[in-house]
Amino acid sequence: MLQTISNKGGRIKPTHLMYKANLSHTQMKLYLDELMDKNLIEEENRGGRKFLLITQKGYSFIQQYNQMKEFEKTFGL
Amino acid sequence: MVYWLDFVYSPPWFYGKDIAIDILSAIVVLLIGVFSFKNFLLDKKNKRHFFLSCAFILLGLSFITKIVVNILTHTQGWLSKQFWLSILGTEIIKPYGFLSAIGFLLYALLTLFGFYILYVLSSKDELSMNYVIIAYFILVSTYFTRFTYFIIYITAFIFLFAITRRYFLCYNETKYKNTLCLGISFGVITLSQFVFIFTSSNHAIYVLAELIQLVGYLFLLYTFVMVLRNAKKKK
Repeated sequence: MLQTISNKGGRIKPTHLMYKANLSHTQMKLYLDELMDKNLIEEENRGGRKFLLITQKGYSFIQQYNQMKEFEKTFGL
Repeated sequence: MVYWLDFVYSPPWFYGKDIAIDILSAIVVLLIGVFSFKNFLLDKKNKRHFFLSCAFILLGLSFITKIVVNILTHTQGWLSKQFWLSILGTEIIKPYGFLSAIGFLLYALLTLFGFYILYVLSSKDELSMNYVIIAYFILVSTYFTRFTYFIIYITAFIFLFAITRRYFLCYNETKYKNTLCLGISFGVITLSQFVFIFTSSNHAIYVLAELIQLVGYLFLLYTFVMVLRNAKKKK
């Protein structure tokens, strides 16, 4: 989900995220709550429309995750 | 009867330079060890990250032990003959020799266990009792290193040769450039261990082995930097 929001420039509408991440509404709500609890994403209301934004912590998590995946690939872990 | 060996084969003009090489090698392996531990904190389900960090941290500690022992041995002469003679009125060469020997055995044990864990991790096999038996043989090799110093380098060479082979096999499967770099760096480190075996015959060989080791660990650092750079490029 974080990767999807990041690919969209760090801001996405919840409905778009649901389609892009191929999740049901219930699943998405569950994951969103967890990501918000961990301060990885936040909500923004602009012109009466709701958007989801990646926080700085979210960006550094993606960075760390990519590093870990590269590391796993290199060492064949 | 116990024989304590003289394991430092650095020519006098190379004193200090070998310590600098070991410091650099220690920094490289500790850097990878800490990074790997951070990965483990990110994904605690994957125990392989934890074991990889253990392997590199053990190697880092082994280098630190070697550095301390080298400093002790290099300063032993003036410390015992001038400093201690003037202070205590007696030379204390023996305790320093004992410390160096213990330090060398600790260095051997940490190095072999570090390479051994890397060897285990380079295989996809599950942990089994075989590993416990090999761990026992590491302890035995360390014990015999007291009598014949090059046993540690032969054992390390065998582990490293197997690790390098596995990384090259992994590269053949994945064709991933960083794995190739990793294979090359471990290949160079393997070569350094092979050269270390012959250090007692000629002091110049020690210098050659240390220089090859430096190239190996610098290449490992390069591989690590490439991993981080590739991750940054990813969207």
